[in-house]
This record gives sequence, structure tokens and C-alpha cells, in this order.
Amino acid sequence: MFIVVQPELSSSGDEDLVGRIRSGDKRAFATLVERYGGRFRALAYRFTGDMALAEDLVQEAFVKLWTHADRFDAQKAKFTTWFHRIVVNRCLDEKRKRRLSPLPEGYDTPDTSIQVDVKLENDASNVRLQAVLLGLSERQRTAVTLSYFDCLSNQDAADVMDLNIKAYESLLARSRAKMRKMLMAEKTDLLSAFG
Amino acid sequence: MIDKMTLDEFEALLDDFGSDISLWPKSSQAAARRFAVTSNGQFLLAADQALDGLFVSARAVGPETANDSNCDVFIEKLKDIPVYHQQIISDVPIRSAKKSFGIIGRLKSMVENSFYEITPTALVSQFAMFVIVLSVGVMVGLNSPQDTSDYDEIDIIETLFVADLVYELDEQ
Repeated sequence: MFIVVQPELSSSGDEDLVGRIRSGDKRAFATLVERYGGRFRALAYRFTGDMALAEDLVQEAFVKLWTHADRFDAQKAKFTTWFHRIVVNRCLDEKRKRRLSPLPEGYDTPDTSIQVDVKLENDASNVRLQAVLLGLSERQRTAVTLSYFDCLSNQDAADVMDLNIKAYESLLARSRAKMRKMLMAEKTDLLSAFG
Repeated sequence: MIDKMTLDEFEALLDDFGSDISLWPKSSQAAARRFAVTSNGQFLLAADQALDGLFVSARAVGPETANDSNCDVFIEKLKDIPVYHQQIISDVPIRSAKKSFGIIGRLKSMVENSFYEITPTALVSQFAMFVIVLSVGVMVGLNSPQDTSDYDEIDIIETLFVADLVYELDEQ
């Protein structure tokens, strides 16, 4: 099914589009999908490390947007902040659920398949970055993902995480310091290994 | 102006402002530059730049910028959501989360909230039921025969006038 996005809609603001979606405008919905579908797919992938799961979660969020557009209150938050919260919270919930799920039988036998977190990218630097990210707490990882991968401004990321700007900046600085320390320790280990 | 910088101070500024010393506060730039040429300073700056490099390369090959044909398929799938899902939009206005105090306040908010939740269909069906029950009651009442066997008709007014007359005659 092809929906042609009309020029006047593509230049409309997000909040205006959600208002149109509320009255059943499918073209407005398609415009928001075009605008943010790929971005939130990438973001969910960064959180979950599993593209199929990321797509499911983002699709779920867009279904919610279509069916319950009236839940968005433009006076309280920007559309992107509201939608970020939906996607990020859903991803974190799913991650927690998966972590708490019972271990499968024979879990301690060597696993020859690629680990979820390692599978994220075959690229060496990405694998290295994932290893460093794993050393962070959930909140620190969320802050790093929002700022460095999704490139949100500190204020927007603080809004998504429901923190004040100072608290967010401090969280991000601590996360960055921790990551740097891990990289430094890695380098020190390497140097000591080679004498 | 800071003359000498410690490792902790340098690290704190690095966390706050990044590895580009020219973006640091003017008062600490000179001392920071002197510290940056020491082995500790070089090590810290190299690690910070390596971290930035990791972010840049991870983004370059990641789903954020990759030319991913699966993403186009996914977008088309998302656009089909309105075809398969019905909107559940309520006409109920977004209520402000005002806190009610006291029993009367709480009762009032309960009534207000339940009023929002009554749909027009519910209101009409409640009214129809009220009319039916009322009509049945009236019909039953009209069709019942009047039973006067248990009592005799007494004209109270007549008794009252007689009593008044006796009292007046006594006075005279």
C-alpha cells in the first residue's frame, strides 16, 4: 500500500500531525512514520541489540500512537520527548524481562552462537564499544545512548529521562568518565601483557 | 587564573567539557595545557579521544546511518498500521490531575470522574430503564382493585366542627 505524503503535511510540526492523527488522518500518520520510523528503529536496536525485537517494539509504539493518539498532550511535552519515553521504557522493560527469564536447560554448556550484545555489529570498534557500554549501569547506558547515538540535546535527553538538566549532565559526565577508565584499563592491560 | 592542575581537576574538566581544551573555562586553559603534555595528561586525553572515535565509527556502521534496505521495508510496514488497527479515541477531554482534599472533595471528584466515564449510550439506556420501571409500577397500581374493607370512612372535619361547637357552648 502506498501513501503519498503531501507537501503541506511534510512541513507540518510533529504536534500538529498528532492532532491530525487523532482525527483519523492516515497521511499524517504516514508522515510521522517517514520522519521517525528509522530513527526509533535504530534507537531500539541500540537498547536491545536485537533487530527483530527492536522492530517489534517500535511497531508496538506506533500502533499505540495510532490507536491512542488522544493520550498525547502537546501542552505537557514535545512529541519526540513523549515518543522517546514510550520507546525507551518499552525497550528497558523488555531487557529487564529477558534478564529475569529463567535460564534454559543446559545454559552452562559452551554457546557457539554469537552473543546478543556482541552480535550488535561485526565491526571491531562497535564490539569494543558494546563491551565498554556493558560496564555501565542501566541509567548511564540510557544517557549515553540518547546523547551519543540518538544525538539528542542534553535538555531533550533530560526530559526523556525525567531528570533536571544538571542531574542529567552529571550522569552523562560520570558515564563518560567510567567508559574512559575502562578503555584506559584495557590499554594498561595490553601494555603490561606485552611487557 | 589557575597555576597548577591536579590529575583529578584535569579529569573533572575533561568530563564536563570534552577533550578540546579550547572549550574549557578560560581561567583553567593555561594550567590544563601544561598538564596535558605530562604523561598522565596525554594518557587521559588519548583515552577520551579514543572514546569519541568509537562513538563516531559505531554510528557510521550502525543502523543510524547505514543504508539499510530492511529499514525501508519496516517503514512501509509501519505505514500499514492504520489498515489493521482501529483507533480507540475517546471524546473525554484530558483532565488535569488535581488533588482532592477531604471527604467532600473526594466525593465531588468521584462524581465528576464518573460523569466523564458515562457514555451517551449508557445514559440513554439508564433513562429507558427508568421509564420502563415507572410505567410498569403505574400500570400495576391502576389495575389493582381498591380495597376498603379494612377501614370505615371517617370525616375528620365533621368531628372537628362538632368539637369546636361543644367548646363554644361550654364557654357561653
